[in-house]
Amino acid sequence: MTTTAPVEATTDPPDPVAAQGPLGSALTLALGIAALLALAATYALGLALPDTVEQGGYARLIAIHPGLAWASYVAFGVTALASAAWLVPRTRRISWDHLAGASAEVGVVFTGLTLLTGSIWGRPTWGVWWVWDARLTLSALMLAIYLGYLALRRVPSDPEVRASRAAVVALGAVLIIPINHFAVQWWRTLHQGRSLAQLTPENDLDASFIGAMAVGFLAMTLVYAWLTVHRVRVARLEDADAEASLQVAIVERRAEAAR
Amino acid sequence: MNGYVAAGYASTLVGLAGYAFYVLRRARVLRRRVGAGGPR
Repeated sequence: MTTTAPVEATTDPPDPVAAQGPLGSALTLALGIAALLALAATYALGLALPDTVEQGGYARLIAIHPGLAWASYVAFGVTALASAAWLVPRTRRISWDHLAGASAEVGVVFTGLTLLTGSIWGRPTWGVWWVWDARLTLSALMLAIYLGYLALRRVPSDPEVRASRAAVVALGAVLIIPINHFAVQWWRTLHQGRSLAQLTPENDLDASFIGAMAVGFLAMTLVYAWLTVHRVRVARLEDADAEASLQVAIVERRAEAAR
Repeated sequence: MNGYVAAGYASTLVGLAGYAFYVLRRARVLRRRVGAGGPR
């Protein structure tokens, strides 16, 4: 018969994230305030835009819809970069995986809102809520791909295994961004041309619309950054919680075996 | 302001605020759990 010495659950040093306040550090609080101010400016500028000859008041949606789409591109781009950093042995740290997962989840929220606001804009201007246009279809596909990515991350496994397989998928998934971005050039679509091209001096869009759209891009980028910082905190806490639960389960099993 | 524009602006605000609320709430619950040093 073998005897088993009682094993104490190992206690990790206090997580600095756990010690922070509900809104994080002073830096994340400042980021949150900046995001709120930029969002308020976007709403003020966007809603003050004049009616246009072609679209009437509906053109006011230009302040938010392209910014939401831009933020989703940024989010999935960050997911790909963080995934690459995880896959390279020299830079491999679990924090890259946390960033990749957090950014993808925030990106899914932005993609969902992009599709929703686009549909709301399409109904009065195109006469339909939805059409299987290249840009719309690819945006819906992008949402489906990243929902699949998030589902893959939830498959129970070791954190390092999870990180590696999610990283490979993220590097493949990111290819949809350039395809989606240039879809309006490559195919005949109902959707207008690239929004980023509207920000150049050569276009004939009125300065007030360009300004509102540019502030919208800035606001959505700041909101994305703030949400991602907080979602990364949640990911770190989830891992710490899972690890602590595992330690307790091991102690309990060993105690059972010793009886 | 017409209804479509109002719906677009309002849904964006509700979506972003709703997600932010979810993330902050989840962080608070987990912080309490991990910060207390005990798993559940």
